[in-house]
Amino acid sequence: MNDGNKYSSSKVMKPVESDILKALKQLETRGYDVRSQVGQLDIEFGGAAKWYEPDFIVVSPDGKRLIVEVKSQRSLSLENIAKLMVIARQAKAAGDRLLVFVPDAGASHTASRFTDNADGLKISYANSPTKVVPAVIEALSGALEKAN
Amino acid sequence: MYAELDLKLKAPIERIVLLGHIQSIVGGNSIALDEALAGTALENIPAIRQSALLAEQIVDTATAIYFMEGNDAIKIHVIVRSLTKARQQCERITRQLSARLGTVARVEATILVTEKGTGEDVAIGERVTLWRRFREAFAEKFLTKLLPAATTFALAAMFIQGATIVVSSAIGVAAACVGAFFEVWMAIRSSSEWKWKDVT
Repeated sequence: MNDGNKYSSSKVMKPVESDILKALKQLETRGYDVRSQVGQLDIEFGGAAKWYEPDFIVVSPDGKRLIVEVKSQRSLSLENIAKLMVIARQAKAAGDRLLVFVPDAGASHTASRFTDNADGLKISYANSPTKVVPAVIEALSGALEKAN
Repeated sequence: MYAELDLKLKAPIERIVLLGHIQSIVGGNSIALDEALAGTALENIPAIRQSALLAEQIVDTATAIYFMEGNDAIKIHVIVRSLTKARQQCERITRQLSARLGTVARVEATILVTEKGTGEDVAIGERVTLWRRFREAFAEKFLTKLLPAATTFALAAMFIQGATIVVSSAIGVAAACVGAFFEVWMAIRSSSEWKWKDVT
């Protein structure tokens, strides 16, 4: 996954993204590096779209990278699921992982048939800071296991 | 820009039956699925591709791709050029499918724009049932029409001597009731079947 074509985004962060970032920042005391406004990654989606800008990237103390994308439940559209599956596949090929947070889904969210069958796509419905950190650590440990 | 429309049905439906209904709605606007999916992120995901039922193209307006989700839900991916068109197409497709199927329980729509490579929601909408519109209109009219008349009647009955005044207050309550129901009916008639909200 080539991230050489970086630029700083001026996009205003949504409240759900700010909440997740606040929770992710707790990881910095454990030696993790949490980056926001990380620039573009080259991704081949098919069609014209050839890049993607993650919401955040978390780098573990041993250098493993986790791409974090925050989506509202209503924005988990078919097209987004398809794109996130491609991102997850390409991230995996590069030794990275993708974790999608859907913080507004709540405990009673209705699972979509498409998200259930989204091969290789890890979605966390964590909606509180206490659940975000374990979800990230679990996703990164998965990356380490695969790498080893 | 695109919209995604979710229709939840009251009962399961067979894929072939649903396809027949959609075909009869789409008619001559039907286009090949491969053509509609070409160039979209959807074309390379087999699970999504297999769920596709039919594609419809309205020249210079929209391309809609119909998917079956499970056996009791329909998802429609609508590619459009503007927010207004997105709303219009969601409302049009819902109206046609509801009329044809008659078993649509719940409808939600999300309008998204591509930002940073993936879609971000800019507007969400839902079809509001007649019963809900009635309840909302009635709640408003109860406060503005019925409550003052009922309060007048209660105070008159409690503090004013004489049956005539109390009876005339009761007549006032009855008149307010008739007026409120008439206004509720007018409000329901003029209100939109859809409630849209911009996402900031």
